[in-house]
Amino acid sequence: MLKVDVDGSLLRLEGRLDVRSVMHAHQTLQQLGASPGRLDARGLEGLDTAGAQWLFVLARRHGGSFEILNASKPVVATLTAAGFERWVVR
Amino acid sequence: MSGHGVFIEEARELLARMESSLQGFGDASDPQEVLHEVFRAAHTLKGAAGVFGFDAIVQFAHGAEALLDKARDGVVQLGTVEIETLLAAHDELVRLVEAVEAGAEVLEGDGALAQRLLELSEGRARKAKKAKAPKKKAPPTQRRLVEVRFGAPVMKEGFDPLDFLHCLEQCGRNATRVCDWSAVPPDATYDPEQCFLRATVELDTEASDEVLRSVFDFILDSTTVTIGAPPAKAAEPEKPKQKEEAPAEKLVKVPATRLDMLIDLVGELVIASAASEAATTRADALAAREAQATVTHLVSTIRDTALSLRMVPIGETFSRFHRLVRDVSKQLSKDIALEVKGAETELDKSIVERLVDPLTHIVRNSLDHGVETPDARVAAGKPAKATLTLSAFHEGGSIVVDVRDDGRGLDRPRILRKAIEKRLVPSDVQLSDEAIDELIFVPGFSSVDQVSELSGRGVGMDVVRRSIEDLRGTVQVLSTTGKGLTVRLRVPLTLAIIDGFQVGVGTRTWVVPLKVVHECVDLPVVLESELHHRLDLRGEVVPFVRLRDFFSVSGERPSRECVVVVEDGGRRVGLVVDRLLGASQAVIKPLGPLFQNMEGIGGATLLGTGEVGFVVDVAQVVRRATSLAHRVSA
Repeated sequence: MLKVDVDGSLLRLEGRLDVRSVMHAHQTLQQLGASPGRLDARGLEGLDTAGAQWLFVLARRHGGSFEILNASKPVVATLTAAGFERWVVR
Repeated sequence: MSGHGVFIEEARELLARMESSLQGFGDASDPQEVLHEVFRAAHTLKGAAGVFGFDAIVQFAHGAEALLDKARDGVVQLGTVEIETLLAAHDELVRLVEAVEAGAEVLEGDGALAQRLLELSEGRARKAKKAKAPKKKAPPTQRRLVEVRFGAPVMKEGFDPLDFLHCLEQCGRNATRVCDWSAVPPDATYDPEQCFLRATVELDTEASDEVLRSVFDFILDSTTVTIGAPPAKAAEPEKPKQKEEAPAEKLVKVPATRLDMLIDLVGELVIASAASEAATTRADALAAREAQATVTHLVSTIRDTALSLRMVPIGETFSRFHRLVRDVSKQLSKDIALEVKGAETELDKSIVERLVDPLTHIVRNSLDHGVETPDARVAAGKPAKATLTLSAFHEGGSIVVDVRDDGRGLDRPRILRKAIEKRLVPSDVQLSDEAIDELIFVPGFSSVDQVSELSGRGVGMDVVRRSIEDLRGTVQVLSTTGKGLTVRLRVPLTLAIIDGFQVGVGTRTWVVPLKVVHECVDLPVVLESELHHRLDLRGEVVPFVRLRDFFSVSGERPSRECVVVVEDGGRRVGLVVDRLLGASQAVIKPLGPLFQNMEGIGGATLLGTGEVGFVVDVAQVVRRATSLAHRVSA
């Protein structure tokens, strides 16, 4: 199960962000009223199109200045395939 | 249906298409088109398997595709060896798909076979180049622009859109991809499980637009794919050719269980409508009766439409026999061609499925016992190559499926001798040809001395007859000694709902399928001969059965009786009843195990009055009537 944690403007995800878990992540942020501007992807094992689409929604709230930190190679590969390579900053 | 379910269903269709095209390759009038067809099937299967990560399937489909591609280019000639290897690859793919269905975690293909495919496509290709270099032009490379608007439910259905784009890019080189997320709605209305992705992929490819589109076969219901040339760079603002293909008919895949549920519900609707009609008639209110007439008409239309959803052409079932005939002919060293006629004839899916086993049995029997060896055929003045014909056509409310061979026909003296040996009939019996033919349906009967791998165990034709009778159908054999045998199966179009004709016998109501009712007449007392069970119908002698006697209905006969003349398999028979009650729709419910062997009853139905009515199994009654008439006249 995907673990979602928000610390100020930093979002931490652990597990896989896919079509099975994306609703959980979305509702968690809604319940917290949070709008994080950065994602610490250290614990993110992978994502699919649904996950990438949801990250786009988060990024759109921040005018495209969304940062993704500590992303693994598979995560970077998916984000690149989805056209989000410019977000991967470190 | 889950993503895997969709894959398995689609893979089966593709493999069936692949097999039947390969089988027909040698005799095809346009072999190149057949080649394209097989190639498309292999290519689509490869793409689909790739989406789900079934690498072993991808590997085999790719091997077949590579060989077919070389054949399309004229670099490799498809001979017996290549066709056999492709058929083996097909079998391996079937096995792998079955493994997926069984939930296998790891799929492993036959490495030697994969290697053989590779050798045939590469080894032969090189030889061909050295030898003759036929230099058939490879299709030209084109720059194509593919615009994809994924449908909203794609992700929920278990597909990952990015995988499809990846697959598409494998069809060419120098691909560039632009993902467009602008269609994602504002936060308030955003549903994270719905897909809003649009993408544009540009690539250099030799593949046709059809092949590129086939990458998205699994999601075309909801996804829009537009393929054209990329916009011209300089002056020519050429519009992409968007209307080059005629819009294909939209198809929706629906799980069979949902269709069955719909048919059941329509059945309940038919019963409710009949009850309402009966109540309205009793109430005798004109306005209500008029409204009821409209409802009845609509219910009947809905019934026909719902039943048509489950109708499938029998050709798909027939096509699987190409392989059987080919393999068995080889095994028996016989030369047999299979001809298929009426492949487009449609009948209920549930019936088609239950026809496969009986048909397989009959075909095997024909190949093994019916068709002679080439030498024997030539000696008998026949062509060495035998022909087995599978044909289907509509007749009345039934479908007739014929399995015809041009072999030796039934050996009646031998059948009778065997029957006497097995004490199935008394040794001094005198039987007509038809009665001898009927012996092959007796349980345990077999005329052959040796049990072969294919047939001869005596567990065949009685099982065939029982299976067909379970479908409310009949089996008939038409044999001409030395010329061949036809086994004729007659099955109803559908098992679920029929137009019925209600008749009264005693206090009960019986339903006769309307399609077999030819006419109704009064029983002419003067002309009736109880002794001969026949009546004179305008000069034609028609045997009759009194349903009151047939079903042992108690009570007195009315002074005036009616005859419902029915026709089954070209034979007319009169059913004598007390009353004619008129046409109505009948939802056939199967009888419980206790009543299943009751002769002459094909099922039960709930009448509009709430009473249970029995559906008359006309075939059985006709058989009894004709045999009775036969015995009396003999």
